[in-house]
Amino acid sequence: MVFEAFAQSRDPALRDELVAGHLNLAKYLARRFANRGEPLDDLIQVASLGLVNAVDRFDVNQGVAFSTFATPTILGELKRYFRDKGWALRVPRRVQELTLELARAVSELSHELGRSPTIAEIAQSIGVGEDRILEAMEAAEAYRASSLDTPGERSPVETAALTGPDQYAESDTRLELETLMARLDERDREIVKLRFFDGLTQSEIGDRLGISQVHVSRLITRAISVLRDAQRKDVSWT
Amino acid sequence: MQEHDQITLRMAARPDNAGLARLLAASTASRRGLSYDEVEDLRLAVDELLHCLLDDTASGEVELTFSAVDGGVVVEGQVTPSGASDITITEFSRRILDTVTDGFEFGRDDDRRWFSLTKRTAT
Repeated sequence: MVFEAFAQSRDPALRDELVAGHLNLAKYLARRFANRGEPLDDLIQVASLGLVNAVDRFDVNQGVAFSTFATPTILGELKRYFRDKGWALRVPRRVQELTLELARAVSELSHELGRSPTIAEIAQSIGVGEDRILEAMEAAEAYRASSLDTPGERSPVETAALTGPDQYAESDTRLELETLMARLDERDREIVKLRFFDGLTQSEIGDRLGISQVHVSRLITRAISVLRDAQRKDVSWT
Repeated sequence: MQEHDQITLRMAARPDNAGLARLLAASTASRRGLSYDEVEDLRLAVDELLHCLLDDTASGEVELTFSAVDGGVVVEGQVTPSGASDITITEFSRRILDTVTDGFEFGRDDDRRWFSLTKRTAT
């Protein structure tokens, strides 16, 4: 079984073989989201990213077919794409396309290299200059959720369960942070917690949640924007 | 220290100019071989510190220096004039900066606000 061999070796060639072998599933699911104003090629790329994540996370010992396991992952990626779709600023089409390539390249290189790739490695993988990669990273700042409305607030008690009881020495500070974090939706709050309270890297968060590293970066930027709007500056340094 | 790998940026002290600062920070970090994760951290740190310095009372000019140093990048900045109020930083901002930098400091003199941050590569 190729999946078993891949689970043992994490060989990129086997990974490519598995992705290629199930690409029709990604295309099929992408087509279900056609006619919603997004080019089918883009949707297939997004679905393919979900497929790659599914291949990486599939456990043959769970006793389910890969398609059963992968379908919700791919659909989740597509739904997030639409939910998070929306450029706050006008970004040239070529740059939008490059951000998709960037997400794929960072994901693939991270798994191949076993570490976060350098900008030069990403540029070489995509076949563009490093300045184009930097441009795409900056353009992602303009890539916002369609709505930055804060969802229903959670009580500090609910949020405390997420942030943990012993992470802030001062109870007032803890309450302030918990109240602030309650402004975020569940996934964004989890990402902020993992990054800034648990110390996970963007790559590690992406692996844990089954989303791309580039998407993690976007969500962190969005969450900070929401929190900045919500917080009051109450610590004064001279 | 690579003496010649240094960029100085002078711009109006407006938050919407932060993108230029992030871009130059990322460019400097890229040349030093920092990873994608580390470059993103540096961009976030520059953005956060500028956000803290360029509050509603800030006006005038900001000057930033991006220096490639052994194993990383140092970003130094100053805002002139110093503004009417002290620099304020929230607990969340401090937590962000603690997480994504290898050190940062900032302050306010009579005629300027200033900051310095360091980001080093783990490899």
